[in-house]
Amino acid sequence: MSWNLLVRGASKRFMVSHHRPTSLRERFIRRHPFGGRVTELWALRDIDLCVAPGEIFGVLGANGSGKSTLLRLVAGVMEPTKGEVTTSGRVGALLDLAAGFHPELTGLENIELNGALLGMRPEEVRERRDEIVAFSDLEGFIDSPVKYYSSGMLMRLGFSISIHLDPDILLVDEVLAVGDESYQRRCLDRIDALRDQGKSILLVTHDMQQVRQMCTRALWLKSGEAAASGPVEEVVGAYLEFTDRTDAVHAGEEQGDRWGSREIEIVQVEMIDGNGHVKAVFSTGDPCAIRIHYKAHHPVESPVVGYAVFRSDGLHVTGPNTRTGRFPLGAISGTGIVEHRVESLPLLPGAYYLSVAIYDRHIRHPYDHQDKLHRFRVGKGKTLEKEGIVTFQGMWDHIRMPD
Amino acid sequence: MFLPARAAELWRYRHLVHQLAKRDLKARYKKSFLGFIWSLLHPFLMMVVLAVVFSYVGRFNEGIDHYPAFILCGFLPWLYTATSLASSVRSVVDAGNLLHKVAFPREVLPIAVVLSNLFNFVLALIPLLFYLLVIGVRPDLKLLVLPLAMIIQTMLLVGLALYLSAANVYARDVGVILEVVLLAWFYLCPVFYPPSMVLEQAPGWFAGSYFFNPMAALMVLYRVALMNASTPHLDLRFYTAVALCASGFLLVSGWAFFMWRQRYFVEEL
Repeated sequence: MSWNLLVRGASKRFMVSHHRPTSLRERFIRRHPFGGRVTELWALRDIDLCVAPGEIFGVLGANGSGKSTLLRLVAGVMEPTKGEVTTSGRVGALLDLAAGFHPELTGLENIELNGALLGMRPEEVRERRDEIVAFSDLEGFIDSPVKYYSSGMLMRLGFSISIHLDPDILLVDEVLAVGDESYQRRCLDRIDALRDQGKSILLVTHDMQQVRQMCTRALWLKSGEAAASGPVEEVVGAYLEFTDRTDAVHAGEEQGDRWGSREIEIVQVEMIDGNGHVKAVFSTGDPCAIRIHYKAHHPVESPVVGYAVFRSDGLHVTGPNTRTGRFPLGAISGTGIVEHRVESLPLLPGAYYLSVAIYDRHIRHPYDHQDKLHRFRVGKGKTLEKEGIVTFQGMWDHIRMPD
Repeated sequence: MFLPARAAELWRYRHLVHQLAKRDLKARYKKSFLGFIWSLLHPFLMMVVLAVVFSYVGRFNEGIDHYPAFILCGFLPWLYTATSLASSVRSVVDAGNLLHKVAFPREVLPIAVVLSNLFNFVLALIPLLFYLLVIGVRPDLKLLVLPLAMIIQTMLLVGLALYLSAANVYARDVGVILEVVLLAWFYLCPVFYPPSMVLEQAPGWFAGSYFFNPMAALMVLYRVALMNASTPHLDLRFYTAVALCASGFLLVSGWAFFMWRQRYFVEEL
């Protein structure tokens, strides 16, 4: 198999000193001037990967799992402690090229400087200059010093430079951090185009959908080790299964806020599946129900019970309550359960928060409001849909008109 | 990696050296009304101060023709040395963020600093040559020695810059110590006094070793080239050869030192 990037048994060790002396005086006054308390930290252990020309290879993993270290080894800014990293052709810089910008120089001058940083000849840079400027949407600003640019503009310019300077191996770190949605779309299209030209791309991201859509193979890094590697569906599946399990452990933990006068208290919240079992992980299309257990310390006339679902990024997905549901509760005392049944969960895979609340009849006075205190997760169900937040669970039809 | 292979790699990155040097120069004079004219004006103003101080206070000018020109011929090379070293010592540390992102031969950082200062030096030599013509000093064939002196000095500075910039990553004291060393070095060079003064008045051991300081020999060389200065009682060829060897040694060993340390830069910064 031909390859542009080959990593074999690469490991990287960092020596972390708890107090790092950076001046001679500090070195002299310590008993072991160049040592002291030093611990070993293996940021990567025994990583193998191989990226062919025309392939997008995904790298998954939580923060601190060694993704950046891997990128730095491939970019050649660090050497592996053990093993080897072999590349053929020009390696593009990491996405955050803004590091090489000089604030006093204009956008154009910075393009020249960055081209030279990647080892390009001035003619090569000049040929691509217009394309870089057009792609970054900065035509009006390109002759201003970059110190007047917003951080978004800097990122766009940096990304535009790194994908246009003709790398054979492109390293992409979290594309989604750059710009608005239409710009992201263009970035992804451009990455696809580069793949079709036979470039090798290493894509580092948290976004499972992106990995699924773009990559053929992937690597999942867990604490510096390869937890899974191979075809993208297998790796993503293993990764999601693992995060589901850890999420299930955390589900129900209190995280958000709680307020209210507590004449009535919400004592327990459960989500149950179609068989009446309490669960924290569901699949799209599953039947489920939200159960809110209350305890009234004083009788209350016609309170309103409701809940709200938020996606993990805070997007408010839905917020049903007994008033909008035309389900008057009447006078309440003692304990009881209010249940909301959903025949088929329309949420697409992801992590969600649940808020629950009991208010007075006008929904002004909170008795008990538990804001995003509960978590649950939705995994992949029968539907193949991936885009957006919900599935309509609709039916397709096709009516042919006779000619 | 062996130095010849590394040299080929550096040659591939010559445009980066050029860009970085250009960046240095552009950034230096942004937001100033006179811009690059300062490169010409600044050394002259400094020279005026030195000439006034050392001729009226120190009486160092006795027996020297064209004392201001004499000072300039020593002071411009000195400025080249002092500014190159003072800014190259920070060159690697200041580029810390960049080192984490892009792989490029790290030597280009100190080298670019020295070369941008070389450019400034050459720029400042132009008005000096005019000035010499105006006061009636006609350079002759000895002017051909000028490139030789500049090459030796540049080798010396690149070598020292490689040492200093790499060492400064590990101990930031290097920058502070350098300031003191530069001050002492200034007085050990014949900038405002004639070297004959040292040869005649200093104790023998000091006079004997005085010209082993490459900068001292280079300043004499610059004066020979620019002012047609005569050098009786001084074997200038010998001391030029010494300066060349010392500079060559510092260049190669400084580069080797830099190569040895550079693989740990990213982890240290």
